[in-house]
Amino acid sequence: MDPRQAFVELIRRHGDKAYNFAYRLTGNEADARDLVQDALLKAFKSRDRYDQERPFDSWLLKIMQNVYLDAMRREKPTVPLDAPREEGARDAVELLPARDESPAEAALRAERDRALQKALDSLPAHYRAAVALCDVEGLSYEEISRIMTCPVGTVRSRVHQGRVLLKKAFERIEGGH
Amino acid sequence: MEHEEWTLLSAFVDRALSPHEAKAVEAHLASCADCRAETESLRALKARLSAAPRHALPADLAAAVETRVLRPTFAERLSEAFVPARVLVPAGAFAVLAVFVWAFSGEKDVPLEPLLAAHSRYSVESLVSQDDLSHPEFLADLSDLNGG
Repeated sequence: MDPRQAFVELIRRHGDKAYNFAYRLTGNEADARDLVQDALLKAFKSRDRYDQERPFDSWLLKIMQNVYLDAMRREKPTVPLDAPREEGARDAVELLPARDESPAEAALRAERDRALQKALDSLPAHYRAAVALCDVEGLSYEEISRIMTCPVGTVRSRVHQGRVLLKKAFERIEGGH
Repeated sequence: MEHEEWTLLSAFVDRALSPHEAKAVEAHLASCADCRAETESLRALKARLSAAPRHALPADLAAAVETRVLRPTFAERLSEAFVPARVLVPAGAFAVLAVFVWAFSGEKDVPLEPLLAAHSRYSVESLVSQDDLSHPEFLADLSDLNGG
């Protein structure tokens, strides 16, 4: 198969996962779109460096993580990546539809998702990424350590600390969850 | 279990502990209500996140990226039409070096044996035969190499 067409097939297979992670990382649609587009094109340009023994989606998520952190450092060089983020604008979310869901159920699901994203947004970048990769995307600590380029012990610590902070955020936003 | 060891509970929930560590945590949970409550709280949080709605890649964004990938730019077409640089550069460098050596090597061939002999007087006898050692041409070459 033509390499360009093969890459398009990879986008079709892994694009939703990449976008979902981008959305959880950035907290809004506009930034998620920019992040995914930048990461996909960067992945395409460096496709010769992709190790085919490793999962493509993990490689793509690693590129996305690096693009995101680089952008954050450029935007706010004096703010450490462990610092909480300011809240961004809330979007009307475009969610994948659930089967047999009534409009009321869909509205409730969207509301809970907004609360979830608001809680995630309050986390420092490293903790937000670790929790998103572990709990939202279901990756192992080993895969997360490759994506975030840090030891497994650091992943373990970030996942736990991220969860502790998330629980406190939910208590503030929802009065418990 | 101390507060700072609660990171073990998160790893326990994620099934990321070694069998030995997991067994130790299970034994502790059997007798500690606080840690059991914390573990259940972490499980519930993980379940909520893993059940969170998925955000789909917008169709227009997917189409725009696919179009960009399938239609190379002029610069990309140019680069793909020629041998990649990582092959061109060493091949070109070798060609330049070969031409340089050819241009400046001159017509006179330097015999190998006197050259070796000039650099290793202890091995001259093993490199050069007795007849050659006294041959006038060999002696002239050796003298030239020694700056004589």
